[in-house]
Amino acid sequence: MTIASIAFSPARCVSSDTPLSEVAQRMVTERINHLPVCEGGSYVGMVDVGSILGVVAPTGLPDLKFAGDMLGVLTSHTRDLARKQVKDVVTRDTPAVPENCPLPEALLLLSKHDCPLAVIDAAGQVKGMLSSRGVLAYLLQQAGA
Amino acid sequence: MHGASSHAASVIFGLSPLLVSLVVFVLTYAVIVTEKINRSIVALLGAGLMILSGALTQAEAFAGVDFNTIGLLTGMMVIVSITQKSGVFQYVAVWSAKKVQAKPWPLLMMLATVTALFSALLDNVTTVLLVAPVVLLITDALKLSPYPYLFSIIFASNIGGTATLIGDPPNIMIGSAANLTFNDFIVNLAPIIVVIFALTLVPLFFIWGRKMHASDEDRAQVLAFNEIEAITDWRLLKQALAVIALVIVGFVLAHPLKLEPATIAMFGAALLLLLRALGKDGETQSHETHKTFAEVEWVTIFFFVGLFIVVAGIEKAGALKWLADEIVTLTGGNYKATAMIILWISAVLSAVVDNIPFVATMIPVIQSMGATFGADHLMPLWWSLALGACLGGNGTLVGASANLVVAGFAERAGHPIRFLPFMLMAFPLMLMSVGVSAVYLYLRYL
Repeated sequence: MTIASIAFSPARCVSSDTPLSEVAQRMVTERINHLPVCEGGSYVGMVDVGSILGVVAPTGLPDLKFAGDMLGVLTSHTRDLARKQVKDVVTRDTPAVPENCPLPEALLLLSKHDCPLAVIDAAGQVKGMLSSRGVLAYLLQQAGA
Repeated sequence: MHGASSHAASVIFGLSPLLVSLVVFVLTYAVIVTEKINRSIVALLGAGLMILSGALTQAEAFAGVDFNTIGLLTGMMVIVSITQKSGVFQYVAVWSAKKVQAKPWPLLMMLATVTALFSALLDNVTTVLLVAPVVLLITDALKLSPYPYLFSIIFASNIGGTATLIGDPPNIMIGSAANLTFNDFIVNLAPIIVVIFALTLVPLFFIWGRKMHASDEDRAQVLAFNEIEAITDWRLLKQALAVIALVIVGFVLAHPLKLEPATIAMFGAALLLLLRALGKDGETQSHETHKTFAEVEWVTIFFFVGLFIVVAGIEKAGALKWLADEIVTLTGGNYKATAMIILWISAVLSAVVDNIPFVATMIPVIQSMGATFGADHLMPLWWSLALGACLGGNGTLVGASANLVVAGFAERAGHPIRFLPFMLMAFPLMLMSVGVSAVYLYLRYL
């Protein structure tokens, strides 16, 4: 039993030098939280909305209750996303899985990394994204639930 | 060389104890300087080699460890680790920014002053770890370059830490070895440190201060910060401040009470741990206690242990007595010249290499000079070492751990502090501070 039977979400890679503002806009428009990152056509990692928010938010402080809404600072940082690129926030240790990856292996990786997995072909090109929801839907269907 | 001690014939292969201990010492320090291997690993290996080679027995090695320094460091680390959870550092930083209406130049002076004060009483690295992010936040809100502010808190942390016994590890080591009390440091170093701090701000004003400007709208954002919200645990804050006050009173009264600093610090740490544990169930107590002890920089503590043993090895072999004699010969037995040499060499070396191994080596050297100069004339030498070793840390980005911590924050915030530009400004400023120290030492002691 491999993941080939499960429907993948379509995914268009972004390159490492894509501006984060563009990636952010796309995530909002398409209502997605993760995008695969490719260099030279091959998968290298993942960019997620949390990493982008991490660039916008101030860092290094245990909490920011004292700072109020800081809307001016946050919007300024958001505008600065145009000057930052995917390579500044890409997570490179997110594994990709081949189309014939056994289902249990894929489940383990999904639970370990808590993000969709990029499904790649033999050439390393991204064919789609395997999400936890997609796997769950398949298993529910198989279980006749 | 003269002055070789009487070793039992137990050194490996029957080699000269002096040769063996010197080789281990030089190798240890050389590898530490290269930073290719974690310095604590190197120091412990060096210590092990000192014993394995027969240069020291285990008993002699343990006797060479200054447990007063170790205890004081550990105790203060525990106290600071617990205190910082209350949010007091952030509170003071935000409060001080609002106090000066978030005006750029007064803000710089205020944040630098706060950093210097914290560094004088608590640990430099923790101070900048907690103040730097607030600085970045405030300068971000004011649309100001954070560079001048980060530069200032680097200088402030090293200058402030020079003022007291507990402000900087070199002072802890010197105080312990020379039986100098908290009050001795306050009386002898704090006054000139205040002067140096003020003088350091002058060139910073001319370089940056005059050109700083923030709009009323941006300043309003900072003024809207609510510093009260920075305190995450009021009960802990009161407990921590009470214990810190008690510890400082303990340091001040240490001499009449015949207490060593390590006892005071460790007791304070234990007291704060107890206060924190009261009213909590066993599992929570255990978890929090484990967490607090996990936050002690054991890597640094074991670095000190290893270093003390390595230095004890060459001291036993007589190398440091020889070095002391050579320095005395070089200066013609003139303790004034010796004090100046120690001051300037300590400063320049501390700017480029870790000052702790240097101070650990110089302590027995200065102690050996007591025979030549007399105990009364050693005091200026101790103050020279303290001033040079602590202030020298401002000379380059690698001069002190706090510098690198701030540089790390700056890098992550997108405002990197580069080595050469920093040094081009910092080194002359450091030399100025050491020059002022030289004048002070000359006028007051020499």
